[in-house]
Amino acid sequence: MTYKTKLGEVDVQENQVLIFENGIPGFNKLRKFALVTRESDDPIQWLVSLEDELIALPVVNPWLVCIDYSLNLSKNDIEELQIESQTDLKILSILTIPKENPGETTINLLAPIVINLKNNKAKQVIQEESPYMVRHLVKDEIKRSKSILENSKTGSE
Amino acid sequence: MSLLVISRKAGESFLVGNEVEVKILKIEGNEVKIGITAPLYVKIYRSEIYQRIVEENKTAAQVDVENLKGVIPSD
Repeated sequence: MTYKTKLGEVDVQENQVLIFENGIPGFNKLRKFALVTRESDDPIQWLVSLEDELIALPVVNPWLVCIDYSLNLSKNDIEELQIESQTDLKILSILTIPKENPGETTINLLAPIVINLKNNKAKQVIQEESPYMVRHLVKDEIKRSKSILENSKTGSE
Repeated sequence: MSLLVISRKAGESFLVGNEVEVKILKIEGNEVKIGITAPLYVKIYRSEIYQRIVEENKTAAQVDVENLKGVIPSD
């Protein structure tokens, strides 16, 4: 089916429609989203609303930015998304991109989007007791991740 | 919506609907420890954290979808 989205008209198969049963904080009435990939934006993908063509969120695999990222899913989250296996999960973090200053982009590591690929149920998980914040500077996290990688290389030699 | 103001002492509780019980566990200075008994599907968040995420999501959604250059440093 073709949907009008913030990225223009997008073809989405019914089995690719993601269902956020409780919406996303700030967009509580929106239930149906899709993950859209545009080659030119790689590694960033788009979580686009299929019900409001003004709403699209840029998302990225958090481990690409923060190599030692960790995530705690509560029993509540696991039951809500009916998660049976960790391998069914896709985890994405939302980016906040300042209009005039993309170099100052931040990533929300506190509240990632968790998708169960088995049933397409998804939610933005709000982690309690988390060391992470809503805004981490992407460039700083990448720098930190690179130094972790380099240290681990020298350590193994 | 309605606003109800009630007074409770430590050890006392109140019900929200049939399924949610809120108990005042301890009062110390300007901090109150609260125990909440609720079914799993009732989500409980600290208001300021939830509100912070609402604001961040709304800000993130204002993105210009045509220009992602320089967002992820490539070198």
